[in-house]
Amino acid sequence: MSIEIAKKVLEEWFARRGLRLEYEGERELVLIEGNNKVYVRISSEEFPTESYIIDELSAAMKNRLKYNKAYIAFPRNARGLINGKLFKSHWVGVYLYDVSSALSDPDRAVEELIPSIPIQLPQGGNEEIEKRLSEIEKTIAELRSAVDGLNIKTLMRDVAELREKLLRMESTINDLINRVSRLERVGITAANTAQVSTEGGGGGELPDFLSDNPWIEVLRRRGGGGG
Amino acid sequence: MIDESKYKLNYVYAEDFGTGYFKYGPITLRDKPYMIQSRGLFLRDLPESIKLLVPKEVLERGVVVGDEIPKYLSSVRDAIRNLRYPLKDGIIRKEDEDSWRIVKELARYGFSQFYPEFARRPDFKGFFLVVALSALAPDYMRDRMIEIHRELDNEFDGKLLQAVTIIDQPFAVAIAEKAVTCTVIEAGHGNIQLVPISYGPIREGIVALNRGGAEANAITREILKDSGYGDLAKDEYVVEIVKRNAGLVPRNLDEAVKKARENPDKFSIKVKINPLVEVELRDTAWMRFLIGEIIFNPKHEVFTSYIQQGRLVIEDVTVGDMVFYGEMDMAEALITSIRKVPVEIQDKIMSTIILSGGAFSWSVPPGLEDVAVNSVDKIKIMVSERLPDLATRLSISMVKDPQFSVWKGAIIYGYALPSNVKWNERTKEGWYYLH
Ligand SMILES: Nc1ncnc2c1ncn2[C@@H]1O[C@H](COP(=O)(O)OP(=O)(O)OP(=O)(O)O)[C@@H](O)[C@H]1O
Ligand SMILES: [Mg+2]
Repeated sequence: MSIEIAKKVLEEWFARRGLRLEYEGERELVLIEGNNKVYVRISSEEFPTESYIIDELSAAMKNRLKYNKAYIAFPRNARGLINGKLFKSHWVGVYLYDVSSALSDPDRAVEELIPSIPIQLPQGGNEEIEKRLSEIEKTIAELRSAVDGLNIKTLMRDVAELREKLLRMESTINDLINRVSRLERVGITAANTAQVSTEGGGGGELPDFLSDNPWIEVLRRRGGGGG
Repeated sequence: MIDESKYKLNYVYAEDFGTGYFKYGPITLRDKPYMIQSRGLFLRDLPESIKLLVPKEVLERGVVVGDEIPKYLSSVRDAIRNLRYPLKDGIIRKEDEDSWRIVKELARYGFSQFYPEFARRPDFKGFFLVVALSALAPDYMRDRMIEIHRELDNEFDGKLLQAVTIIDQPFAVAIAEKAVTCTVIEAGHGNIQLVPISYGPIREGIVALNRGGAEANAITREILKDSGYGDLAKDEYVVEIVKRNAGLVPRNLDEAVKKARENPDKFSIKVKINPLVEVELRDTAWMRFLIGEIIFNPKHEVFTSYIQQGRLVIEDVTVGDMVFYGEMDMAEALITSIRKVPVEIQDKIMSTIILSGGAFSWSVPPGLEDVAVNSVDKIKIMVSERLPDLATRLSISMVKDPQFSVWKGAIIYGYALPSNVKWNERTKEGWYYLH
């Protein structure tokens, strides 16, 4: 399906909703909606793969901060392949269009599948920002005096005490681990001697994936002595 | 010695830095290492709101790997630029700091899964670490690997590692396969290494080819375009699936192509990518044989037109003093390698040839046995066309576990190489002690 037709269908639909076309690129439309600038990237891919979608998304993200809203328009057939979370987390919306219904029912030729979360562009609004800044400054000053008021010394002492306790617990646990592994070793040796005695030979300690491999001897000899 | 063996039965640890996957873990895992993709995601230009949610140390390091990647993928603005595969060609350039950072992160990710448990054991005094790298890795790569692990050891208060050593991946394969004299051919994604081994790698005999699974992907992409799937051809995932399912290694390319052109029905194939997308090769079904052939012999004239039109790039490159041949066919590479080793051991080297690596994973669909072969038979056929006498003496086999044999061999190496063998620049063998 050609991009040109899709573009016409979308332009028509936006015009019916009172949006004004500001710029038209090969695959892009920029529209004016009241005070807002809306960016629309058009794809004709009916079955977009995930990596294709990520490519499109990163193309739409490139100038995201220049527009209040940004969308990607896909053919309606792509509906099931759109991962809503991915778009929402990037503040990009999705339109679905259907060229075949453009003539019979122009109103339903396009639908908004995922709305674009609008962002405020930095224009004017300086007073607002200054007001917020002085509020934040005030909060910081309050926080600072609150922190000064805290009794750091007592806190530090508590922390030291806790650390002390933790160390004691750790060494008790280590001690326990030692004892357990000693016990386990006794168990294993007992089992091994039982096995070896039936074979009547020594060794027999190696796990199967190390045994019976000529490299073990070859490499051992590099240490200058036998095994 | 007894004590050392006992210690090492618990505390040898190996890392295999593959171009596609990083395999890692301690000896106690026995046959199967842990595995994550060799890739990292840089946390660049994160939205401020997200930054607040990321742990401080992660934010400072600025890169994540493994199962951390999906957590952040949708928050990173330019996911494509920031998701990087550091070992794509097997070699990392000296000044490629981004790639080194990912390598360090991969190693750290592995250690942090195992260290806490090991640190609690009273007899644990640090791992003996074996790092497996390409046989063609230049010296600076080995040095940098040691440096990276020294830094990591410091981060763990010097308690993580006792000593580090480095092993060539094909050498590790030979150890895992219990072959003391042999030739290993390791065909990964980025390149193919042929390494003769006799009680250790014979460096003069190493031959490197500048192609691998990646070139099979490149020709698959062109085939998709020629079959009317221009858009799908852009998708690396689609290309990978089509390659693995449709690719065939021909017994003889000219005959296979002739048969497939005469009888396209027999050779046509449908590959289902997902419930919606399916690729069918019918008129172009004969091209399935190009996918396998290119690994073994890109010199065949059918590839010439692709190369002349710039649709395929296969050329020699030089890394340090090593030439990676682009077009040299597999039989010639094998013969070249064998000729470079001392005459008195040539016979032994030839008697065991071991194939490993994913780019040799080709199978023969039922009914196509007369035209298609597996990698072992392909190499036998190619050598016997060139040197019939030699072919009868070759014994070629494919490893059981192409993905894990490097890690397994590295573990065995770390276990057996005595701790009193200190690193030797000339033999490139021995332990670097970090303390
Ligand atoms: N069934 C298959 N058929 C064809 N090619 C395959 C198949 N499975 C894996 N491959 C290819 O094998 C290559 C990866 O090989 P492998 O897993 O040995 O490499 P690696 O371990 O990641 O890298 P290195 O060779 O550097 O260690 C890729 O090009 C992949 O497409
Ligand atoms: Mg490998």
